[in-house]
Amino acid sequence: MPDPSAPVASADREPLPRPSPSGRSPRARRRRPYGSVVGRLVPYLPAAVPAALLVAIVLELVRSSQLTNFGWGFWGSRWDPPDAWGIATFVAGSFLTALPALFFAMAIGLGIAIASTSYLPAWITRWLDPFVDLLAGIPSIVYGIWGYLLVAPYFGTVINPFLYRHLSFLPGFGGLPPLSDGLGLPVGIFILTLMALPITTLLIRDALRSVPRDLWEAGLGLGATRWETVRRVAIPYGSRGILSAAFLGFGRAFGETVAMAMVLNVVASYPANAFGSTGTMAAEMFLSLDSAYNNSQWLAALSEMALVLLAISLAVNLIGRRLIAQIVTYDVPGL
Amino acid sequence: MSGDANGHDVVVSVQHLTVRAPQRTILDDVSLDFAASSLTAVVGPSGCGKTTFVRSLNRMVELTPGLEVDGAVVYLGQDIYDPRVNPVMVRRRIGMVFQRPTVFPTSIFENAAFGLRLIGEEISEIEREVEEALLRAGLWEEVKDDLDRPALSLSGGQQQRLCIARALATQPRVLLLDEPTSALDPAATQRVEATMQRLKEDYVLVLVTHNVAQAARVSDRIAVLHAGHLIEVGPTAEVLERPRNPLTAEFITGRFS
Repeated sequence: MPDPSAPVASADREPLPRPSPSGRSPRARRRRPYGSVVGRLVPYLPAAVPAALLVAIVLELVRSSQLTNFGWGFWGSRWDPPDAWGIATFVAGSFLTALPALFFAMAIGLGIAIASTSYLPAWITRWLDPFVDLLAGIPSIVYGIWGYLLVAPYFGTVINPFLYRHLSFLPGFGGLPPLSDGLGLPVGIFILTLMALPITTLLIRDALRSVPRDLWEAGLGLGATRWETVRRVAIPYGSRGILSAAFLGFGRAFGETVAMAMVLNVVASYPANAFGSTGTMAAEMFLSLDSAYNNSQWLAALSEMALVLLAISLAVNLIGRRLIAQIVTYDVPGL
Repeated sequence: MSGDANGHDVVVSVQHLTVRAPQRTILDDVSLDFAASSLTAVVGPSGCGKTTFVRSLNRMVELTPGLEVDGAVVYLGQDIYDPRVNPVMVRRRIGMVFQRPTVFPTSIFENAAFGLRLIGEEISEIEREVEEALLRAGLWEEVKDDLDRPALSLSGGQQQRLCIARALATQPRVLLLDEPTSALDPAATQRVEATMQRLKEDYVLVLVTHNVAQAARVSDRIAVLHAGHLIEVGPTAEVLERPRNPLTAEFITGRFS
């Protein structure tokens, strides 16, 4: 039956079927209202799952931590259950391991990404690039075992004594000589660097790869060397992606648990120097879960610590989003 | 003027230039001189090698893997393909503007200053030379009050003139333009063409274009490439009105009708 509104319809020509709703068969229009409401709500459900989960986790942590229990003492530096519940040393420990690890992971990740996108021939990067993805898939317990059995002794006998000998004039590097078991900050930072490295490398690599070939050639065409083009064109162009790499890398390092519990020699104190031991929030929660099992006070303290860890991670994430959104980019006509 | 540049003030002399890709020859024994204060349009059908030709004038061609260059491009007496010559230095003297605007994601000022920063100019010098370059590119009046604005907020035509200013800032003698208006609308094209016509007084301009009408409007000499061969070169009016090579005639009429 010809559609009267179709412009191509004429007496001697069959009108083309049109994809507009009015041109379809009449049955398509007769939708039951109930069905359409459900149908329209369905996509909201999976989309709402993450938000619902986050709210549920926060509510449960707030409930189980009995927030008023510890008061301001919770921010103190003395952690001596069941007498003292100050978590400041663990908060400090989490930052003292995650921030240096992030610094190294960003520096090395930038190096790998620049080499792979701008210097090495394509046939080599085709072989080398997948290894970064493979590194991302190594379970953290494997890093922990490897760190404990192999890396820590090496740090204890070779690297830490070397660093102590040559850097002890620096504030934070002098004082107590490092112990020979090697457990402590340096090996913790080393392992965390390796764990954050795949995500920083992958994101920085993608950011640099997104630089249009035209822009590369424009930089080189103005007489910039390859390095100058990387520094003055590619890195600014990819700055959004590079910044996200930093924030996601921090998230990866900040919450790492098992490997840190194994290589840090977790203690509830500030590290004596760069070679000392300390604890992170995540590692302490993991290690004291057993002792806390029959102690409601202790469980509440761990819940509150989890809440603090979550709050810091979320805050860093939100700040990161803000910063990234502030980097102005415009659509380039014709690019 | 410069019908053929055999006279005294030759700036760039292309001598027996041949560029080979693994499977085929892109440019075959092309020789052509470029004189000071001239605008030569390089035209020809798609795939004739005109972009490769202009990219071989500042060694940009080397960025495409697998291409092999033979012959010489002599710039003020120096073969730029001499192994002792640094391609980076070549590109600072022989500037290039691309098909699509390629402004960097930074301010207008920093875009224009890009090349000057590379050579480590003093900041007071940079400010003076940026103004000078923007004036020459015909963009100064439009942007002088907000040089700190992101360059990407400019229109496509303004971006392309900024790219021209950026290439001029380091004071090259030669400016290569590879279809600089192919991504622009007619009004923006017209302004870029006006800029080119002003610039040809002071520079050697080499304009690659697929648009014979544009070549007719702005150039004083036309070089026609066909399948990698230079089949005709001469004053614009002469080539367009009385082409000597039948292939040229075919190309021109095909384009004009």
